[in-house]
Amino acid sequence: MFSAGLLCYSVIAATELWSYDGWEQIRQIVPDGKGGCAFVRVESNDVAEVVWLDKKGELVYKTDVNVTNNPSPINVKILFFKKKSLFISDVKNGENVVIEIDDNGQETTTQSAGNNVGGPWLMGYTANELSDKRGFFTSKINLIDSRQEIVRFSYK
Amino acid sequence: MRIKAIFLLFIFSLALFAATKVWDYDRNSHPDGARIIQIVSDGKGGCASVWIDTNDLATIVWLDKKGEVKYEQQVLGMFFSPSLIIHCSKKRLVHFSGVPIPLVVQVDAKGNAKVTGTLNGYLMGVITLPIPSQKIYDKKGFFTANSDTNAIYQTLIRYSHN
Repeated sequence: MFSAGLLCYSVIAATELWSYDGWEQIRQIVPDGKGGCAFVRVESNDVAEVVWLDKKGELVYKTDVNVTNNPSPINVKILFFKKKSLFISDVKNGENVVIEIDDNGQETTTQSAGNNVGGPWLMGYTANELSDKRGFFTSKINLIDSRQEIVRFSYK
Repeated sequence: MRIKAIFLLFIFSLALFAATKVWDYDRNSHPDGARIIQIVSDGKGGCASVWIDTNDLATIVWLDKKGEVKYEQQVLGMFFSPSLIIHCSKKRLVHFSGVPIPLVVQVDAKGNAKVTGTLNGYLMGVITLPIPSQKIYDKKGFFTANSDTNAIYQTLIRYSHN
């Protein structure tokens, strides 16, 4: 049945435009709506980074997660893009904060009076968006070492 | 008496603003039953949906704004991406598939499917994502999954806001 289904397909759709190292695992992808994206990548020793790439796959910004102050990479969440800024939530010195990053990599941190501002508790990594008007993102698992890359495709 | 009148007025006002069922789609004839795990609106009144049967196979169903099937495909996918639908618009559906290896399928408005792969690896979604991403509304209405309390299957329902 699946073979029959596969025969209905024809190859090859979409074009691979660029890729970027996703370390051991990619945990969240959020497009900027213009062909770029931000994503969270994680290594097995609980080191994580938020990486922001432009539409050419070039680095705009990345931030290390301070494991000492941030016991689990799961605390890092990409919230959304607004105009030329990226908003993430993180834990800094034991406090939940929202960080706005502009396209020059300049950070502005927002804290609430109760030191507990962020996304909804159940948000987790569910705020994944894999597509925009011109293309989509996937994670690619390399056959040789099982490490991941984020890959940008155009629909055509 | 006055309180009763106010209550009736309140109920009447609720009725005035209730949504209207436009169409429904079910796979009740499917022998294994089906549950909906993902709905992604195309923004124009149609949607793509993922149905899980009791045999744990997933089926992608793309419906137009009248609730008619544009494309239907069974996939093996839950093991590498809980969020099987990547993109849905009136013109295009993009989804993951596990047949025969993890890859991406792009479908045009006529239901023609094309496969996208990559060299030296395979494509998948964000595997740690426990809950599929959903888009259950558009400008004119929304979609729900209706559960039949006497059966294991569900029905996908389109409502207009008015």
